[in-house]
Amino acid sequence: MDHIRRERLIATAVVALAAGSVGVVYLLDPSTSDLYPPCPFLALTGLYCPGCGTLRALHQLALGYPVAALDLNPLMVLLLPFVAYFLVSHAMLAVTGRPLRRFFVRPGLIWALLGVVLLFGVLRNVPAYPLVLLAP
Amino acid sequence: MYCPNCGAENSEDATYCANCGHELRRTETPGMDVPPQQPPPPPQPGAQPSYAPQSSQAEVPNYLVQAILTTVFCCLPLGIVSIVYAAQVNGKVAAGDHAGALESSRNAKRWAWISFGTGIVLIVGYLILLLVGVIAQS
Repeated sequence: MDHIRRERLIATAVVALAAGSVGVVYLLDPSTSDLYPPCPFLALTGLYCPGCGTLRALHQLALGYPVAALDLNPLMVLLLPFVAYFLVSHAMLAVTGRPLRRFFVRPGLIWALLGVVLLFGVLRNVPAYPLVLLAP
Repeated sequence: MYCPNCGAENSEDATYCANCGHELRRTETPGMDVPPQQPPPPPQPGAQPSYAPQSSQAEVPNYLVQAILTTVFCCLPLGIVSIVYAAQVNGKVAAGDHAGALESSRNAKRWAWISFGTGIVLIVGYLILLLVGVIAQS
């Protein structure tokens, strides 16, 4: 069926894009390469946003250093399994035509996630001892 | 046929997936049709039983993963908007407001695309600047 073929095509593109991105991040260190754009939020405000350090953390993960990755951006590392499930589901859809089953996240948890993201964004800018660990 | 959204098996002539409500054919009348009258599939092992006793649980897409990606990879304000819509979708699903959930889902999808587009524009713009800089130097 046409519709399903289209879904599989999109899923293939999503997985290919993700794999390509991971490959680039693995090969080129974001902390030294000029290839990556600077964060617009950091450039405009001078503040770290909740996503700051994501690319460097992914680079460390790809090299096999999870602790270094957690140090750069713990939020991203903790949310990664979610993204991984999404990608595996799309890979399944691309290959077999059937994605993994979607699961329902309680709305309260999503609101909590929003709170955590915002709080994380504030706390990692506080220049006091335990909180500076959250900075990238 | 299998639903491309959730993988549930449906009869060949179904318009909407009996499990998740996903549109199975391209029709021009969006959303509000009566879903096909089919018995709900047996509950899956991993599913949470507490919400929405009927079939539709995980079902209206909330684009939460896209929201997370937006938040951690670029465009902080867009990520926040996306997370709010994702929470709205699941909140309305949990409350049984299917039409409202679909509406929020459409907004979530729209913002997922806006953030993706913004990210691409930023990256491509930066690469063009980079290229211009390299050429100017040589």
